Amino acid sequence: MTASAVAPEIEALVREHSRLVFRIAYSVVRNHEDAEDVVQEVFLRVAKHGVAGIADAKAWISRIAWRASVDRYRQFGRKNQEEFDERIHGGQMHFSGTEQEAISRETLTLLDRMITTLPKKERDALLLTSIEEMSSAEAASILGTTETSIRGRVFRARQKLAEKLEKVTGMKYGR
Amino acid sequence: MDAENRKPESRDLDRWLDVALRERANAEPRSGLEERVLARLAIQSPKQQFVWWQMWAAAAAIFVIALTLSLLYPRRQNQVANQQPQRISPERKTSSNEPTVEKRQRPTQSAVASGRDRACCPPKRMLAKSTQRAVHSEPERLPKLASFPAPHPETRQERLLAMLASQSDITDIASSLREAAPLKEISIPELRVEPMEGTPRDDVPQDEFGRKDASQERK
Repeated sequence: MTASAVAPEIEALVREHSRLVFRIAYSVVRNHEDAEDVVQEVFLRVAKHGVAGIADAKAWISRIAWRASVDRYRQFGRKNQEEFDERIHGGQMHFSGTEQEAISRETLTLLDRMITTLPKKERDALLLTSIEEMSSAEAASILGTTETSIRGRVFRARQKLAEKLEKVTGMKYGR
Repeated sequence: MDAENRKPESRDLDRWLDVALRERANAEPRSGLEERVLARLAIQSPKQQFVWWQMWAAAAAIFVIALTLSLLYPRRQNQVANQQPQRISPERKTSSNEPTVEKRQRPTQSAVASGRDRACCPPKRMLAKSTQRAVHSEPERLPKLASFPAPHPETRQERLLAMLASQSDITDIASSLREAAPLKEISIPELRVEPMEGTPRDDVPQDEFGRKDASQERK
């Protein structure tokens, strides 16, 4: 089957935003297969809806991707999340030389788990703003809040992570 | 607080967090993601359009069928109800004044059938069929009459008589007639029949065969 059967505007959106959609999905579901399923689902919804009257396609698609990812995550449940967590079991981390020296795998795994224990609002803000292509304003539009609120949530999230890490490691990360 | 003024541990934490989040958020998809998505879209889109078109067509067809049935069924029921009195009309002609059992039964059956149909219960068609069958088979059966033989329609004279009887009591009429013209006493003269010539007298004894004794007769 060729891509010629797809409308050209949809094809353009797929080529432009599929990576972003994948990243949003992966930040939530933490699994390559699930993230790819989310990407396909998002673009099916986009094709079904059509792009007529959409002013900001990126924000619109990001919002669909976020909702689809959260739905997918809820569908699978948190119980099996660790089984699918490829970062813990897959060993697919790619560090630069200096980072690899400084950061141990255990600390990263620990941080990753701590992120999942954060309050939802703070976690969502932290995850969305950490995506390269996503600005604070875009994250705010996806989560339906203001940019200031997003920044505040991110700050609080980082603070909480520091406190948790202090408790676990016994080191002082005063800010 | 400036990044340079932070404690080294804090800087470490920020760096670790950034790396952890980057790894979490900026994962790379497997190669050919766009092609896979487009292929899926190419498969799904026409199918979905077809399904939608088909669903609309099916819904429209179902609606039309339902509308037609709802319009036709009451007419059929009316036809069935009209046919029943026509078929029993010949008997009715003979006994129009009589509230016979048949008169009561047949409308009741049709009323029950139509009542069930009006309720629009699922076995409506079956009920209608059975009613039709019953209608077709009914003429073969003779109606059960309350009185036998069935009385004929009254003649004009009978009707007039009945009217007269209903207007005044016939006994009163008879008594008034008696008072108006009292009966005369009828005197009937005694009837005497002269004996015919040659016939024996009654006082002469007869033998066992009814013949008069000749010796006695000579005397």
